[in-house]
Amino acid sequence: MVLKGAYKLLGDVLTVYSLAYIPPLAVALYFSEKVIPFLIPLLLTLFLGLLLRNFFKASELRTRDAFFLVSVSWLAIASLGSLPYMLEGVGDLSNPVNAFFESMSGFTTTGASVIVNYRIYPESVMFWRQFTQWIGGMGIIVLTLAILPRLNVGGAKLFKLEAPGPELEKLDPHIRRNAEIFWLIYIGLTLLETMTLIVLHIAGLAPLMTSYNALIHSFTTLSTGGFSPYPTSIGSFTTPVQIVVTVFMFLAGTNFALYWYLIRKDFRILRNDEFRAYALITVISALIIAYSLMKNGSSPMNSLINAFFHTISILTTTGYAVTDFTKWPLVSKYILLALMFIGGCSGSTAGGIKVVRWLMALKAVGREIYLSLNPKALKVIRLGNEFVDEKTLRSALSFVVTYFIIFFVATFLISYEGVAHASLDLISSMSAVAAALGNIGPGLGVVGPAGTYAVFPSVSKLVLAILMWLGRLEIFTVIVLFTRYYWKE
Amino acid sequence: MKVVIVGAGKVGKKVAEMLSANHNVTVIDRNRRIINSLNESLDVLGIIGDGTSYKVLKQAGVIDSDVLIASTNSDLTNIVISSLGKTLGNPLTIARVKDFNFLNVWSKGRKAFGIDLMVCSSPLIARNVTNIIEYPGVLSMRSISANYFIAESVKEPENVEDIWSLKLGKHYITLVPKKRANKTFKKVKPKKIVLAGASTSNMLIAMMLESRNYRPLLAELNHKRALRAAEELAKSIVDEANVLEDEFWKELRSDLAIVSLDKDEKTLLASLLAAEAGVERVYAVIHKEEFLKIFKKCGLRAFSPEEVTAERIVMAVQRKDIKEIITTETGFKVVVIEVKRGRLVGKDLSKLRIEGGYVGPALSHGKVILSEDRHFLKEGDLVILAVSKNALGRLGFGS
Repeated sequence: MVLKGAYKLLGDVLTVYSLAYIPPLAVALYFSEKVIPFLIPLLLTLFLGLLLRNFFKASELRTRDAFFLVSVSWLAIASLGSLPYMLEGVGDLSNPVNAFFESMSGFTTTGASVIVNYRIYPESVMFWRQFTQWIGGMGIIVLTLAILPRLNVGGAKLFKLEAPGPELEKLDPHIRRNAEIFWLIYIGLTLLETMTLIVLHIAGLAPLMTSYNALIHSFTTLSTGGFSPYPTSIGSFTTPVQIVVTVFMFLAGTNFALYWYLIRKDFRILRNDEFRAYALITVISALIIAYSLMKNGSSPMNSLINAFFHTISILTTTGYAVTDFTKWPLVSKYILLALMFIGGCSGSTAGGIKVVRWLMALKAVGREIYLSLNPKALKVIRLGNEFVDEKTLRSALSFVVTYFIIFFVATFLISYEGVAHASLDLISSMSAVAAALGNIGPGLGVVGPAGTYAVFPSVSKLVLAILMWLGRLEIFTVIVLFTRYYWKE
Repeated sequence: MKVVIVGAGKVGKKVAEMLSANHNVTVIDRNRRIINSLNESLDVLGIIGDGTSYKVLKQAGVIDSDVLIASTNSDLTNIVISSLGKTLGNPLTIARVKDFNFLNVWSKGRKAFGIDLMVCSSPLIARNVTNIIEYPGVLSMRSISANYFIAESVKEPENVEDIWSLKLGKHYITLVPKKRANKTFKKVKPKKIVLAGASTSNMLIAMMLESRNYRPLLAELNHKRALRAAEELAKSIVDEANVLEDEFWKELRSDLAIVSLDKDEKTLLASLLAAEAGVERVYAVIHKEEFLKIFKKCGLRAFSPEEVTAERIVMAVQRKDIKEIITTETGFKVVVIEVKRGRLVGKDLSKLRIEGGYVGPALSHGKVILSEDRHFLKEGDLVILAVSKNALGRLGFGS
């Protein structure tokens, strides 16, 4: 099968992506570190991009091309993004498998890391690690849509495949403008958090939170990524910082379209079913966790802050930590594990199944129960004031099912290899899979916030990296490429 | 410009597609599936809802929109939507209607129902068909000014020393002086014209033919419709006959048939029967534009009101100076632009270029000026362009 429509656009995507190496290059120059690890990938990516752009002719973008383009773009970006780690040649990250894992974990905003010793890496590499998450948060294809005008007509297909959530929600007739709106809101919120953190620093409430730290942590908050150059994550900072980060994680997990309406004085965010459920899940989970922490002997204030921080961190699939929650009471750990399977809102930068899909799935189950008692009833499912199309409902249900199938199969693969190598326990391998597929980062057991993914053997790391890829593109985008129907005309 | 289209049927979709490149287009339709697919396939914003409801119109931004196009399936709904639009804001309102009577009423009053432009395809189609009835080699012939036609023909035009003609693919586009149409194209007066189906367009064709002293035969199976046709048409013969029967065509020995029935499938069958029975020229008026190709494959010439309607609407929104758009079978559209104050005035014709097309000749005070000639455009001149289908939505000049 010839995917004519995809190659030239892949060139566009890579060309835009090559710009991403410039900020870390600047950081390397600023800290007088090696620039080669960024210069080579920059030139290579630019070369590949321009080659594809000039070699192939523009052609109509069919649905097949769109799937190929989006999936392969992400794979290419993650692979090229691992070059700086390898070229730097320091520590665990110089190993290709580790570098690919870290890169994929970065771009998919997972936040799982194989780093054992954080101190040995230069600033520029740590910056790159943070920056990949910021780029991946809103997505490189959406960025390409905003920058290059070519994709107007087929663009909506690509937008839908990259942006999280079951349905394409347009805010403006032109897809290019939609991409711009999403990126602008994203940039705006990132700057807002940076400013807030800098203000805390100036006020003397956060001595460690320098302007630079404020920026690179805002990168990974708004992208719900969760990387930090500090092994103790946000736990390295003071309580006011933790509170600010909590708020911004929550904002990053909310549908960005709602902010657009809010700017235009449309308060539909208050009536939005998904947002309400998202807020409700956050509050209830956090309160239960806080209660269990208090019973365990921690102070009420501390319990509340810790509970809200980690509930939101896991629910929005960020993966920041302030304490090692693997040492928490069982019920708290259980709630965190359950939250891993929920995820944030559609149209946000969060990963996971998404609140709206669960709402649809639960309403569909409710309808089945109702229909078994009233077989002749005709019942339409609503979200807010809107009807949910049966097709959307079906796709949400099959997404949930597929998500769990992949979860079980992958856990088997990880456990199988784990038997031969390291002595992993069940909860570690299960939560590692859930954390990779949901783009969360830390799990429970050995992969908790204080642990590292370095314990996994190479094949398991590759499996986990593929899970991140699947999770970020919401499974079907990637999985269709591996079906026979796809390759048959 | 901000354009709101209510009704994403064939016409609505086509208009949305053509306008989306240059304008902010919002489309309202009640069908969720249509809107979802539209959101993905076109660069427009789709809204699910009833276009006659205040809430939906407000959500679509009719209040501050520049153009409101009502193209639902129902004439009355379209009229209501246009009126509502005029009450809510001040957009240019365009309503598509199928019933010729509405157009009649509207054209009498001054912007009746708050509609700035009412587009009705049947008179357009009727005129297109009657214009070519006497010229077998001509595919279409449209009047662009008091003295000139633009014709698309299969055969090369004759006596063309001082006539402009352009070969596009296998066809010829010719600028014909009206008085000399007879000399340029071979004229054959049809002996017996059969109009199959008492559709609006066929009724209008019958009236136009009557004014040219023809006595066509109109066949309609439905008694009531046939009776009404007989009442309205003074000179034509009205038969209560079934045009889907082989014998009907065999007995008639007609040389020209125009078939326009309620279903395209029936139209196709009747047209094929007519052609089989030896009718030399068969014209079909069909509803669905996508069937045009199939009719062409069967060797029939078909006209689609939907296509004509969509073009009319685009024309009205796109540029106020577009006078006519003519679809040719070569994939090119011939666009006639009237030079108005400001734009284009004083520009040199020989230096005019357009994206995705050619600049043809201009008409100035009844005289043809070739595109290579140095001519500074004046108000009232007509410029003729041949534009590829895709470039129509973003028609603009560069020099």
